[in-house]
This record gives sequence, C-alpha cells and structure tokens, in this order.
Amino acid sequence: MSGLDSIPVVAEGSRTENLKPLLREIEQALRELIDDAKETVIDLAAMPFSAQDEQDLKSYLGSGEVIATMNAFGPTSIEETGVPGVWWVEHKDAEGRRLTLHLEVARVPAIMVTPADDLREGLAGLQASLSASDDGDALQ
Amino acid sequence: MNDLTLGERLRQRGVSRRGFMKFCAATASMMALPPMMIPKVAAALEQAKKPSVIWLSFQECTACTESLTRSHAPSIEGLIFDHISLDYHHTLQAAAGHAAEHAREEAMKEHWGKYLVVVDGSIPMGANGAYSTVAGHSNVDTMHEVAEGAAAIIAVGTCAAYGGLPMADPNPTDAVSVEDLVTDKPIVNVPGCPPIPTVMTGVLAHFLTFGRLPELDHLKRPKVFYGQNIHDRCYRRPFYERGEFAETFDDEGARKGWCLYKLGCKGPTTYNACATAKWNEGTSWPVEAGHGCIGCSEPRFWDAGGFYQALSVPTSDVGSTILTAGAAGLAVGAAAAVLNKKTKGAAVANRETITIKDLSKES
Ligand code: SF4
Repeated sequence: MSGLDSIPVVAEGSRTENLKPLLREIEQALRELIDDAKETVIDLAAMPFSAQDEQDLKSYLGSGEVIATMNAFGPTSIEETGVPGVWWVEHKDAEGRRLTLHLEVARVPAIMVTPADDLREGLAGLQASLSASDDGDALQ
Repeated sequence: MNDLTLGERLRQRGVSRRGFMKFCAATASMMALPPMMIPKVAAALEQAKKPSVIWLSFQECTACTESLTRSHAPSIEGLIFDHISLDYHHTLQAAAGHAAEHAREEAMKEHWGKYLVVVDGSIPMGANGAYSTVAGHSNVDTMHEVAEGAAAIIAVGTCAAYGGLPMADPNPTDAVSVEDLVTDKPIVNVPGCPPIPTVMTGVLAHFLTFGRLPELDHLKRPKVFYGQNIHDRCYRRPFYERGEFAETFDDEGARKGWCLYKLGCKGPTTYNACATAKWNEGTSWPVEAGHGCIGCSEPRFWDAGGFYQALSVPTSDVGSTILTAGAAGLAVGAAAAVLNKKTKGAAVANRETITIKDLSKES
C-alpha cells in the first residue's frame, strides 16, 4: 500500500433524493405509452443524479430480456430493464467514455429502428448484387 | 470542403445515420435541450454550414482555453470544433506574428458581418490600453475593430463577461468587460472562472445548429445553463432543508456530506451548471468534493467578501429553515472568532477540529 491507498478513507456514495420523483416520472411515462403510444426519453445528465442514484435505480428496475449493442460512432448499449418498455440507452464514444445515458420508455428504443434511407440503400445494394449474381454464378 | 454541411462532412467520414443520431443526442444533451428536441437538432445540424470564428484573448490567465481544450466529450466537441473555422486564436494557432494577424484580417474581410467573435479576458482601459497589447495594438482597439464586422460576440469566462479578477479592487489596469465596451452587437456572457467546457461548447453548438444565439437572461447568460442556481440543483440540498450543516471541514457533518452553507457556500446566489454538468469528465464538482461554491460565475465575486463567510442574507427562498440557517451560520462565525492562530496550531498538532474562522486568521 502506498500513496492515496494508505489513507483509510472510504467515501460514501452520495444520493440526491431524485430517485423517487424519477420513478414517478417513469410510471407516468409508461401510462402514456400504454394509453396514447407516447414515447418518452429522460436524459439523466439533465438533473442532479449521482453514481449512487444510478446504481440504486439500476437495482430497483432490474434486468429484462433484451440486451443489444450498437457500433456506430463508438459503442452503444441498449438494455431493457425488468420493467418491460423501460430501457437503458447508453451512448459512448470510441474511447469508451460516456456521452449520454438515457432512460427510454418505448416499445423499441428509437436508435434501434432501421433508418428509412438505410432501408432503401440496403434494398438497392441487395438488388445490385443479385443482378450481378444472375449474370455470374456467385450463388450457385 | 468548407462548403460542406455538417451532415455531409460526417457522412464523408463514414459516420452512419444511426451514428449521426447518436451525435445529435449527445449534442442536444450538451446544449441542455430536452431529448424530444433531438430530431430538430438533427435536421438543423444536417444543414449546418461552417461559421468563421475569431477568438481574442485579452487580459486573462488562459484557464478558459485550458478548460475548453480539456472538455470531456472530445469526439463530440472535436467534431463541433472541426466544423467551425477557428481562423484566429493566438494561443492555439500555429501561425505567429504578421502571419497570424494577416489570417485574422483575411477572415474578417471574407466573412464581414457573419463571423463569430469569442473573447476571453477583460480589457484594460488604463494608460490608453497599454497594459495589454497584441501585435502592437491595444486590446481596446482590437476589440472595437473586430467587433465591427461581427455577427455576435461570446464573452467567455468571468473576466470577459464581468471584468473578473483583473477588475478586483483597486482595479489597477482599469479593466472593463466586453459589454462595457461594445454596445451595438449581440453579446452572450458565458461566465465562470473558468467556465464549464461543455457550457462553452454548448453555446457554440447552439449557434452552429440553429444559426442564432440561445435565449439569455438579464445578465446575457444562456438560460439553459444559468437558469437555476447551484443551490437549487445541489445534491446536498436535503441536508440544508433539514438544517444539517457541516460546521468545519473535518467534523461529523462534513464526513456525512451535510450542507456547506455555514462554511461559506455561495450556491444560493450563484447561477451555473456545475451541479449537473460537473467537472473533469463528469467526475465531481466543488460541493461534491467537500468545498462550498465560491460563486466564480457571478459578477464581482472577487470583491464580495470572504469565500468562507456564510451568506448572511437569505436569498430566493425566504423560509424559516434558511432564516434559521443564516442566523446560526453567523452565530457559529462569531463563536469561532475567539479562537486564535495559536489554538489553530495546537488543533492541527492534535488533529482537533479547526473552524473556518481559524483558517481565515492565517493571513
Ligand atoms: S448551501 Fe451549498 S452545499 Fe448547501 S445545499 Fe446550497 S449549494 Fe448545496
């Protein structure tokens, strides 16, 4: 043990007391999703919310069935919580630093839906490769 | 290349549409806009053209630039900076001397009426401006010359916004702020000593995204970042409401993370985004580190009394709690005043608690 390690101080994780109001906000957002198909995104950087709060919220909401990762402009992790329709969406940059942490209340988080232009480009690409393979024998 | 929009530039770099949406989500968060604005940010950024920016550093300590270059989302902020044309910044640019000044003059000529000016540092008026000159020109002359063709001016840091430390009593250089000098241009003040990096970039991103300045308060500060005081967003606020205060920096209350009001915290009178944006890659901020806010983004914070004197006048929320807190804070201060420097020395030796009054008796 040397340097800072030798100082016997254990920092207690601070809490902001914003957890309960946030849970109420999630409850309201879920109701709106069910009744009006209205989706909600909550930016956790927009309110005082400590690392300890985040940990508390994670254990309160639990884990669900879906875990996805996306690689675009750095990694993004998308996880459904134990409350169906409530998702963690965490965007990171290429060096793994967090850019945003959103709680998304939706059937599917928006970032997972294939963009319309990508669909069209994908179709055009597939058609081009199919007609190329019709001319040749790539698929035989 | 300069005519490309931001969307085109990102696609050219191989950023996918989902990657672009992610960039927009991070930019909206940086601008403190609600997530429902992300599609609007995306539509605007897609079309954003590259603005010319002239950065003037006057009577300052360079912390504003230091802070900015250590911003914690480099990939996002890097892209935003790649998409502005920083035509003059004498601390960062490679060119020096005549070449640097020539670059500024060329940028002004080419973008007359459209360029953005960022200023850090106050402007000394004493001795005909001779206290601070660049390339033989006084700061006051340069400010007038560059402001004339500017679309808008962003005064970054408390010195540019309000005069800052150079203006501290007795203000030996007769320092003034940007808005004291320039009265006919839109000005945004981004105070802080230094300002939070993401706040600086957020204002630039707002201009880049929407082509206009964000909504400002009566002190010309962007409301999204300076709309609430530190106290209202402070995670120690529940302790304040319950009247639980740290009385010294090493007592039970300090260890338990209680409110720092009695130790001189200026959170109740300071408007800034530290409590949410935080510092050092979002690691912490002064109050979380155990030190009260010193109010560095407020006008005249430098001459507003001791950093460790409790605010004696209740501010926004005149409730019984704060009245009690204020009165108790003063009583604590008065009681502590009987301790002298010798007591403090002994206390240090014996690891006893030291009051803030002891610390201020040091000088
Ligand atoms: S006085 Fe300071 S430490 Fe206490 S709640 Fe207000 S901002 Fe936080």
